[in-house]
Amino acid sequence: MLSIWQIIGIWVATALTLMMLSFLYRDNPFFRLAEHLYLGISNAYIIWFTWDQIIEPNFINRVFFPPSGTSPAEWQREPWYIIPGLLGILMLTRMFPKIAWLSRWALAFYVGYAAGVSIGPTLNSYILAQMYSTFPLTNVSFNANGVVNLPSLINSLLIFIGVVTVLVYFFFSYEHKGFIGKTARLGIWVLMIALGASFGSTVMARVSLFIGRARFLVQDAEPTYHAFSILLSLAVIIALVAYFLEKRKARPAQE
Amino acid sequence: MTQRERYILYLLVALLIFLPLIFTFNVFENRPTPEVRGVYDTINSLNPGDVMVLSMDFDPGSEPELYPMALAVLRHAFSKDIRVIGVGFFSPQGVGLGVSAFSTVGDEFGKVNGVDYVFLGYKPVLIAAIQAMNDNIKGLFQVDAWGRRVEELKLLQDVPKLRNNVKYLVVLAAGETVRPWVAFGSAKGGYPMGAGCTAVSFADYFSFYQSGQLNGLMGGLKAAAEYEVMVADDYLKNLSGILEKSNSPFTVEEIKELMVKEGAPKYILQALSKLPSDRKFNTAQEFSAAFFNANLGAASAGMNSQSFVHAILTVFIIMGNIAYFRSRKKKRAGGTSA
Repeated sequence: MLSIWQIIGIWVATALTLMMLSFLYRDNPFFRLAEHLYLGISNAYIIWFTWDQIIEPNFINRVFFPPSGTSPAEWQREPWYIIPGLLGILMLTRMFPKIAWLSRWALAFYVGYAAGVSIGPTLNSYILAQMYSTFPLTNVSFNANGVVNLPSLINSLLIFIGVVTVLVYFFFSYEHKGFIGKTARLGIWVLMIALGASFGSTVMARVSLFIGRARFLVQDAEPTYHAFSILLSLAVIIALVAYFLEKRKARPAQE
Repeated sequence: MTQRERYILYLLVALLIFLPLIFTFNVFENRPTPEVRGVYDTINSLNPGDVMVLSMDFDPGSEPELYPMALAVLRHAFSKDIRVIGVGFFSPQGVGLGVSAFSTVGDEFGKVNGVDYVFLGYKPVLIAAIQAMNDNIKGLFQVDAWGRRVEELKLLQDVPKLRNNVKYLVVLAAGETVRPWVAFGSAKGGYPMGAGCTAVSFADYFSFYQSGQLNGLMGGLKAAAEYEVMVADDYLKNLSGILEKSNSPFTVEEIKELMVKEGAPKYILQALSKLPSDRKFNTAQEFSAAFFNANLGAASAGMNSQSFVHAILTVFIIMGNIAYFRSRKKKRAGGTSA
């Protein structure tokens, strides 16, 4: 049994979903209301979360005060956390032009740390491992009798040819003529096929988002006290109000 | 394209999405692909009590695709008595989804929060956070997503760091978090990794699957539906012995009583409660089909709509191309005669 607040929550969510979908007709006050609500609530949540889950436990509760529920006797101050805390505060000096240069200290520290930490693993995982797996022999599999699995051979050759031809297409030190030109042209085809596959996936992703909301409207909202019929009524009301607003806007122009 | 044509297209897409959801039916079978099976098989190969990590790196913007995936993976892991450490490094807005997924599935399986699973929530600076997880989880997180001190959580007392402790990592990513997890988590920590992503990112991450850096990859709603099918199949296997003992026709209530007598797991009893208790079945096959369908999740429910919309879009693309080539031919013919 749902509580009254849960039911109200479902109705509000239903109304907001319809308001967002009303943009498909055209920009309108309902859409903007829902959009502003979303932005406002999201920002408020992120600000609260950043304070409650990041700044307070990682800085305040380590340097200044014990966390709630911990007695001062049990608490151990970690004063060296004042250094990252200060560096974080220095980042905020960017808002004041006269002392904005101070933020460079924090940025320099952060960039230096990130570059130092990233270079090795990035080289290993994003370049060397990927290059290794591009070579045909690394992808070929064999059956129990030691005979090459034909589909895996074709697949590995396709990967190798695809990678090489696309790299040639992006290689501009030589004019794309003759053999280089033909290879680059093949690279364009490989790119087009890859983009087609990506487009197909993108369609699936976007449709999935709509399905998510549609499923909420039909299957999640419907069993709770006929919310589906309510949402249909809401849809009609929103459409009517939008229509009359539009008419009212158009009238002075006709006059 | 005129405004009217655009509205007609919207209307068609809306109808093709809403109608299969309102009038549910099963047309298309979701056969698990090798990429999705990679994640499933690895979790299947783990022993009870092993620990895996589920990184729920998404927010409500990708909920329709990745949340059903998270539920299916959690159901699979909990049905094997695998302990799960959850985090979410994409956005603070994803924490609520993590809390909801772990609580819902944890309750279904009677798992204890803090002992069988933990969800630690969000931390910024992904690379640093992943590295800290490898070496000292308690150094990174002071409290879990429910605000409890991490020192009090039994699971983290057993598993103070990911390195050498966890057997598998599954990252469900809306953004770019798979790559850092590959480079700084799995490769440095020495544990295998699988991933789930939105359909948009699937092509980008496929090279990591092909290189073996990921041993499984789930892309979008379709992959989530495939995983749901495998989990529902697992549920069904639990019933096979019990169904043989029942005399047909039987009701759901009678099957339930038999299952309680046979000591079936709590989650199977819960799964059974998705069918009306007075519903009568004449054969075991009839019951199996109904039980299977009732335990498919949100992703499977959306796949009929997905398939219809893809079909209509393919038709429109073909029609658009025919129209384009015809108009080009006409223009050329007109140009020649002039």
